[in-house]
Amino acid sequence: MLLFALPLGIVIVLSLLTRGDYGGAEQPWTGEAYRRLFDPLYALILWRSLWMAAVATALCLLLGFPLALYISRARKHRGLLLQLVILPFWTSFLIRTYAWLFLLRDTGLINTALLKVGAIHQPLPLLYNDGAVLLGLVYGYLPFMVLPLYAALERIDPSLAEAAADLGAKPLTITLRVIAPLAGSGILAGCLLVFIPSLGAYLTPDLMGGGRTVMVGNLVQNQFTTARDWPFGSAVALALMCITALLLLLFLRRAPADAL
Amino acid sequence: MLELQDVSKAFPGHVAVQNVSLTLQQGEFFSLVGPSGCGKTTTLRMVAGFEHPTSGRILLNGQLLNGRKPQERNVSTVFQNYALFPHLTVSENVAFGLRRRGVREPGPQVAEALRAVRLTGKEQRMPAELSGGEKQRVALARSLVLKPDVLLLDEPLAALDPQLRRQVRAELKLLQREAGITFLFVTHDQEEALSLSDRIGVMNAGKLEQVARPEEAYRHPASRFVAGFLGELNWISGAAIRPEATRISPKECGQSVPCRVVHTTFLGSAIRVEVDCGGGLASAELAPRQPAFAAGATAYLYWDPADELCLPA
Amino acid sequence: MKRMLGWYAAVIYAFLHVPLLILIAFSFNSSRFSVWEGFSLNWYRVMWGDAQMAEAAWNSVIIAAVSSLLATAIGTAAAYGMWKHKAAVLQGSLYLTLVTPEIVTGISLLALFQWIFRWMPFRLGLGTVILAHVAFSIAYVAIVITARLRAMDPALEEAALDLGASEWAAFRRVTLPLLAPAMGAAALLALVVSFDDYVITSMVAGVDSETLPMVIYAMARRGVNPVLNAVSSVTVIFFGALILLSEKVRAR
Repeated sequence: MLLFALPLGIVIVLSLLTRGDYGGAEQPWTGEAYRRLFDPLYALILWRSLWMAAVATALCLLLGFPLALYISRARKHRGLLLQLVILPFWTSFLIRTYAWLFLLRDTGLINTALLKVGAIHQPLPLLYNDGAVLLGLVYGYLPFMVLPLYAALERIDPSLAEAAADLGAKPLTITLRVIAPLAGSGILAGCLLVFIPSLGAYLTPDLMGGGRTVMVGNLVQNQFTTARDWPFGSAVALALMCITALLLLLFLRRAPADAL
Repeated sequence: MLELQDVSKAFPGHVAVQNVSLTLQQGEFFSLVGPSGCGKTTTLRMVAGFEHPTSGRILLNGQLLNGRKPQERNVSTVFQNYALFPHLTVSENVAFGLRRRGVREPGPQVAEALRAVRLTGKEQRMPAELSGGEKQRVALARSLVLKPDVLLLDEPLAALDPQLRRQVRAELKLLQREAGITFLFVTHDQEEALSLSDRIGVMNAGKLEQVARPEEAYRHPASRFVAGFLGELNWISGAAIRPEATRISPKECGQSVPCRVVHTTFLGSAIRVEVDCGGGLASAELAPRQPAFAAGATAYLYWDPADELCLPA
Repeated sequence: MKRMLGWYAAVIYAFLHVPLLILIAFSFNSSRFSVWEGFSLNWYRVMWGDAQMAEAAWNSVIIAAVSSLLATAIGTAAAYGMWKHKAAVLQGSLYLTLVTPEIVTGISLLALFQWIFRWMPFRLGLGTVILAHVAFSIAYVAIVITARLRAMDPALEEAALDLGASEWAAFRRVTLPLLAPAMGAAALLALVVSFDDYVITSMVAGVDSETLPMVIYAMARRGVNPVLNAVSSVTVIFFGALILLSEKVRAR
């Protein structure tokens, strides 16, 4: 706990100082860094990050729900199906992102193949845009959505769906009206688990966005390295932290901790 | 001899045990009985040393136990779910306490204890491989092998199915007589307490309402709560009578109360008739070979005034 | 409906796994471009001969091993302490540590180290990286152990005390053996998390402490390089085997 609270305390102090000439931070105390958070340029980055994280979350829910439903209904090999979802956790995030770079870049597999069959004459700009970043986020965090969804769906008594069918409901109606509401806490947990890391993502926008799609994480990193403005970087980091903590708190108040 | 002197235990927000005083004789089978949340388990845990009394004294053979850690008291507990160590075999479980007391070669004592609970041959089993009854016996052996002054049993039969419970009850009584160890037995099941114990203590809302021999408590309950908790009760025109002492007749006879028959239940050993005496339900037992009553029929309840329970308001 | 769901699931599974499989397949390509020209182990040879990469890999192994051991010990102690004292708020704060964006953890640790360096003659290096990894792994360990402890009957320790064991003996003879499998799982998790981390490491690493992910990152930024495919394949397969092995051990 100390290892967590102490660094955070220092960041809070840092955010209240003035930037030094050669990096670091100096006196006097000031709230300047926080004022700059509302500078349209930076506010836009923050806003854009929230938007990207929201879209990634929605996409994960859309892709993940049917998969979780499938696994929870599977008669055989349920453990294996689940393991296949967990497997990416054990693989380096960096390597998984690189795998997409390998596929998507101008000289990557997809463009090379399409050029070869003559479907296109110029490489498609698959990388270094918002779409690529979203793809990276969804790919990276989809398991975070599927696991809590599965846990929630698995707890639902299958006879409920049968009862609904018995009462004349169609499969889609059953799914939306009976199953989805009952999986509410799982959906909430899944969305949180995707939204939070997406919001603070650094590697994905860095590699897949090629520096063109700047999100909050990159802004923080940038202030601490090239820009050498530690107070402002700290203020941004704290803003990010506050949003994260707030979301977590809202969630924990609505659902027990073990739902995670 | 175990003595509780004016023992109380308060938790933040509620008082679990209030001024309980109690003396257990050497070799006695004593049951604390009451509904869940009445403070009986807290009392037991204070004797074991897992909770500490807010006030009052606990003495074992004249020595003060207050402030001593669980491992410094010569009492032992059989837990509700037995709390067998799942990573140790049966014999290692039984040897656990002996080893902690520095016994180098616990083998013979372990074998003896397992023989006493008829588990010879299962020494190398893991707890997960045992039936409920066997687990319970391992827990007993694990405690008895230490020859405690008092054995504390926290609902040890609750996890067993009803069939087995009756059988284990008899064994438990026998084992206690053989070992000659004082048992402090906690249960919410009044039938269990009545059939096993030399004396029972009935607890309600943190207070000890009555301490008496089982028949005494059943026949002469000290309060309405004790009377109702230990058995069913009819309230007929201001008198309290047990259903098995209540008789029913088709004709009026002496001091009888008219009623209407609601239904008849066959209990195996007896036939119970539920009746409505205008405002309150009551039940009576048919005498041997007495003809049954049809639902809706008018009948009359009577009883021997000596069977009336006198209850303080 | 059921069939459609099956197809849908298959597509998602492909989405999750095919990119990595292609990556591995092309590590055996003899061409350096994304066109299949024949089987070759050439890139593995190049990788093997790369001194910088070997040093980085060695650094990563040391960091992962040391930090996972330390984090498992500290995290288990912390989880046990919180469980004993029923510190629910602290337990909740574990999740906060877990969901803190890596970049925030990274810069706050950097700030902490810089602050300490004002008084002590240390520099960023292997030591700071290990400390940083311990710091973020503890939460993972503590959560795994807490989950196990929650499932454990508190009466077990009481039973040990009741049978005459001291507090230490009760922990050592009863709780610790029961926690051992969870500790193994937690250590493995910490090992993998440490070995994979780039973001935090890059913030607190010094000149002598380049790790494998840092090398991979630098190469990935520069462009496609089949050596990178080879490194990735080795890492993925190595950890895959490790996880499989641990599952086998646990099943036994």
